[in-house]
Amino acid sequence: MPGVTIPWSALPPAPPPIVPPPNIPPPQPMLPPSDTPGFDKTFAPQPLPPPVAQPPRNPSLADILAPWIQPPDAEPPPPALPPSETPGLDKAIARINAPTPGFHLTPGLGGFSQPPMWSLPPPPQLLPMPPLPVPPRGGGLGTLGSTLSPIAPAPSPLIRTANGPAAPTMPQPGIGIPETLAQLARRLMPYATEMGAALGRTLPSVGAAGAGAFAAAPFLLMPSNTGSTTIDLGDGLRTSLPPGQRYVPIERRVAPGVFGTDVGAIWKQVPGLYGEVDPGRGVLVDPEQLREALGDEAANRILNTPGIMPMAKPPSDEQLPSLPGNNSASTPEPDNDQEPPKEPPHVDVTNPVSKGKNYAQASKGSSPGHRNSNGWGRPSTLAKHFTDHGADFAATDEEDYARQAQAFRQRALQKGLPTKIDPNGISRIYDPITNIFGAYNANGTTRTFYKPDPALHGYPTNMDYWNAQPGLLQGSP
Amino acid sequence: MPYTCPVCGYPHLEEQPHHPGAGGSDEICPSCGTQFGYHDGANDDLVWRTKRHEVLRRKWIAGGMKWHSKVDPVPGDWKPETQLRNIEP
Repeated sequence: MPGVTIPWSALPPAPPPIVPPPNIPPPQPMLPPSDTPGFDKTFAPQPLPPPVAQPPRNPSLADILAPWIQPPDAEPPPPALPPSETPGLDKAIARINAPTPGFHLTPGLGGFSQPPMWSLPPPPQLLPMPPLPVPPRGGGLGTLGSTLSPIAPAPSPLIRTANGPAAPTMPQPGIGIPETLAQLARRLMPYATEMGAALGRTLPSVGAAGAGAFAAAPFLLMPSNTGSTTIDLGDGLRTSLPPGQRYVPIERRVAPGVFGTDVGAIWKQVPGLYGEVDPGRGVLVDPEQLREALGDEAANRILNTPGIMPMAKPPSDEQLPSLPGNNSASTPEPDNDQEPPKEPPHVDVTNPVSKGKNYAQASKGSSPGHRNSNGWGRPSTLAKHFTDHGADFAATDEEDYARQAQAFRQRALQKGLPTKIDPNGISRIYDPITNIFGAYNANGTTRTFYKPDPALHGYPTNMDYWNAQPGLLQGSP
Repeated sequence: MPYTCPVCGYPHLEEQPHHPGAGGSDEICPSCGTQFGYHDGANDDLVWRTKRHEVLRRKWIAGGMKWHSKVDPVPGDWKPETQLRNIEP
């Protein structure tokens, strides 16, 4: 209170000191002794050594390293651990926390100690991801009728920003009332025209027909969250045209979307059925494959669709991609030590001419490659990855390790394992059941192959690590 | 153009450790063993990755700053404490 002065003499006398009665035992340590003496010793208060005058000396290794090994400023303290039933783990933790000989930088610190695993900085995106509905390849229209708003503001999937992949179509707030199909159609119309124009710029074949004509064709051109354009083939079939890709998978709708439309529908790749993008003509499909997979009537209907033509010679198994984004064998080149692209291609989003062109060129530039005998992208790195990860798969040698990596990729196609493709066309595949992770170049060759370990990647779980992977999750139910 | 390992300062990496928006290079640093994109995070969160690099660096130092690779031989003039000066403390 300002202006009021209370003299010390006016204060009440201090209370007498509290003396514990004789029947109360003296205070005990808060933690009871456990079965792990080393653990208790680690947490026991350490008396500080008396300061000892030392003669001046030259800078030691510890002095040199001191700037790099200071403990972090704001690492959270380890949480209180319940009494453990795993003495071995306790010992391991105590060993981790034990002072490391030779790194007594500051007497008061008691030496450098390894941070416990639980004190690692929290990784991003730690929130467990619920089993979201798989983003439909139609893109942006995925969730249910009340969230149809992304259609209008969604950018062209052929346009990449300078900072990353094609802008994903995220649900946006604003429309809370389900739209009718008529409203939906009205919103789709200008978008389909835009997509036709973009595709015309990307594919010379389609461009020859003219963007307007393509938009007017009985295709449903829809934006895709994979950076590709989707063409409705009718009969519940569609194909996607990722830029720079020659062979494209054909998918079948296995579950209808909202109001029986393709919006929010679930699609699955038809095994062994591919189309081929033919510059100057359109999409070529093998009539025999088509008839075998769909029957004569549906095959004939598709073959009569404008822009769909029968392919003279079906692709061989070697030519076929096993994953979207792969056209490895379509344009083989002698160089088998393909360098992955150093930087994501830059696209000038202000220049409409360069939108699709640069992206397609960039994708094409990263796609060609030669499939060597074991499918490893850069042979010079195989020995290193085998040394570090070969034991994960009990691989007998480098060849065995590389073969297993390619076998995993093939299995990913067959099983529809979760796959992400980043802007450089690099595919990352994770099998949560077997905990196997593989990364593959755009041409299908292997970059790395291992079983993730939270102790090594720093995320709480391997699924968190997978969720943090870059790229767009490929459509799979 | 060689790149510098953000964990140990090894100055002869063949690839940029991380590509914005496209994850790690998957290159394994022969000096400290960090595999970029695996050991140091997968996405573009620079704050988290920087802290992760610090953790990995402390581990490597605490382990005696040993040459990791069993494939690439140790350079004759390799001095890990000098190499650390290639990165900002």
